[in-house]
Amino acid sequence: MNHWVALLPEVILSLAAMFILMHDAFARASGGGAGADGAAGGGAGDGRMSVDCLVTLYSIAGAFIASLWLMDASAPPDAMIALDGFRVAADTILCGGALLVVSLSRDYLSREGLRSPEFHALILLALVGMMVLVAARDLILLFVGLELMSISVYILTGFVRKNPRSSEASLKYFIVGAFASAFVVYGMALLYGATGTTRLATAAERIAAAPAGGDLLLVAGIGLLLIGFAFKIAAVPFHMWAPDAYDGAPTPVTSFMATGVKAAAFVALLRVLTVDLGGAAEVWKGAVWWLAILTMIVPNLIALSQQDVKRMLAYSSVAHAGYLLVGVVAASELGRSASIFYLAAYTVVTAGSFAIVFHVAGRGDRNQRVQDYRGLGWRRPVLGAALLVFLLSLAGFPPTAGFVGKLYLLRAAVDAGEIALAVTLVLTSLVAYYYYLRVVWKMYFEAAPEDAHTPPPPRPGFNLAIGTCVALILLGGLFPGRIIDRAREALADVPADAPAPGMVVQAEDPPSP
Amino acid sequence: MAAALGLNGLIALFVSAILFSIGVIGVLLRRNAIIVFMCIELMLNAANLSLVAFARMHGIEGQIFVFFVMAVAAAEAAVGLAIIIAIFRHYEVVDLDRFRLLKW
Repeated sequence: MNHWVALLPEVILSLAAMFILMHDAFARASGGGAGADGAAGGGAGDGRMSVDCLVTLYSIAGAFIASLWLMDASAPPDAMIALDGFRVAADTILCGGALLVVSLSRDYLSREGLRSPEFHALILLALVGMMVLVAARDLILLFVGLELMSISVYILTGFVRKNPRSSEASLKYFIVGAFASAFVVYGMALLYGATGTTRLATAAERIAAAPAGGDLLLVAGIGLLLIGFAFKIAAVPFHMWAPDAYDGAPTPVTSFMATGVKAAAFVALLRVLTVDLGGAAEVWKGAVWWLAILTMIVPNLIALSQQDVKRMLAYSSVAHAGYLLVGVVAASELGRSASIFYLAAYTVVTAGSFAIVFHVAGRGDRNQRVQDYRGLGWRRPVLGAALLVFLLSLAGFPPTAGFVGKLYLLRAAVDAGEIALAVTLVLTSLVAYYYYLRVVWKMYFEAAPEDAHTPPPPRPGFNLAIGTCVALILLGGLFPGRIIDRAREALADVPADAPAPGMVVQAEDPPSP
Repeated sequence: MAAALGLNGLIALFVSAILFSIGVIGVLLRRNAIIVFMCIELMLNAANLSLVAFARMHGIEGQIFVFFVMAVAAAEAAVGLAIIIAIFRHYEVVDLDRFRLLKW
């Protein structure tokens, strides 16, 4: 197989992004109707999709299919880019999340009068960065992927230039993000100095061969790398930027940040730490343990006092990074697959819930306080029911995917002997019930005031995407066995034989360790 | 390790650690967005210096890495300065302490 084929998904997305930018430039240069079409964003109110939106959706779907097709391929162990189940699992989550975000954000773009070609091109470029980040097996490629993702998202955060909140969020995110990148680069430089190679696979062999604890360069390198990634996934105490950036960014971008950016940075961290730096586990395990504990406790407590639903979800998303870190500390195969399952469930839920938030908020995002959700469950039953499912999944109630994900994470933590982490996970989830269920209470048990703003009925495309999210969450909650088995097979250290597509659906019982 | 680096290599590593620390302190203490951004560039260049110093010992990969870091830093500067201009249009200042719309 030609080597470039390994990058096929990324190539498809990059070409699509360039096509969108060129098409927009020439359509505007020729003037007339084409320019107006672009400026209205997402095909305006007539329900017709603009060219760039179509190209975006098709190219993401194409990249997804290409990465599935690559599942059967294999790469030499010292290749710069991975071709394994880990990459396919991550690409599935990233492409799925991006598809949901793009299809849900059409209404928002036309409502707020944002230019859609640039929005979609940046989403695609960020997605390329994420996919490179999760597939990279070389420090240089890892860095380039990280930066391609981050720089695109800095711009997306400040996309509503006339809104000072958006610009402010963008500046804060940029300063902290660039600061974190500098830590990552310096950590990589020290890691390169300690191991003598930028290839992660080779570095892993050399680390496993030599005792790690005594090597100051290696310890400092891992520490700096960890700080940089902790900023990117917004782990406490490196999370200060996240609520501000999530709050100020346009809501579809918030949802993209909370799903794609976090998932990609997290998967890269999971892979680099548990697989490549697994030989130096004693160096990073203690630090990640504290990050996990703090990230579970602090944002859950702050979220209790939030009156703004978007900001509450921002804190909740920070807290979820803590749950995910539990899987990293467990560092077992079960821990990895539990994290991936949780990440998949979390991505779907987050994309759906932020979409409902911006739909309810209305033009200019005016109605996004908890107060504005009074009686929503009766005024808009479909939206209310969907939001109910999302909130229950975030809180971790059965029969949703969020519940199963938490259960697997708990099991991974207990199996690894991390009882304190397991107890913290359960207790903080109980605390989180309060702020999730408060919204549910407002939706169903409090009457709306007379002058309440009732959101317009959503368009069929929006309903379809929301329905997909709900279906995925319930499926993941009811039939988790099959998904988690796939995840375990995909993430096994030794690439297993590709499973037959018509696998038997497993019962719900958790797999034996 | 020290022998392979040579004295010049060691000096370069120490200078790069000092540059990096100056950058970190600058980001944490200064409040002007432009100066903070300059400090971040200083941190990136500190990393470049270490990479080049290590490349003396380990071969060409470190120097290739430096080119990528420089290219990415240029892209980051373009976007960062544009963001600073965008926020200057709203506030007429670039002082990080003055941006208080987003709190708690």
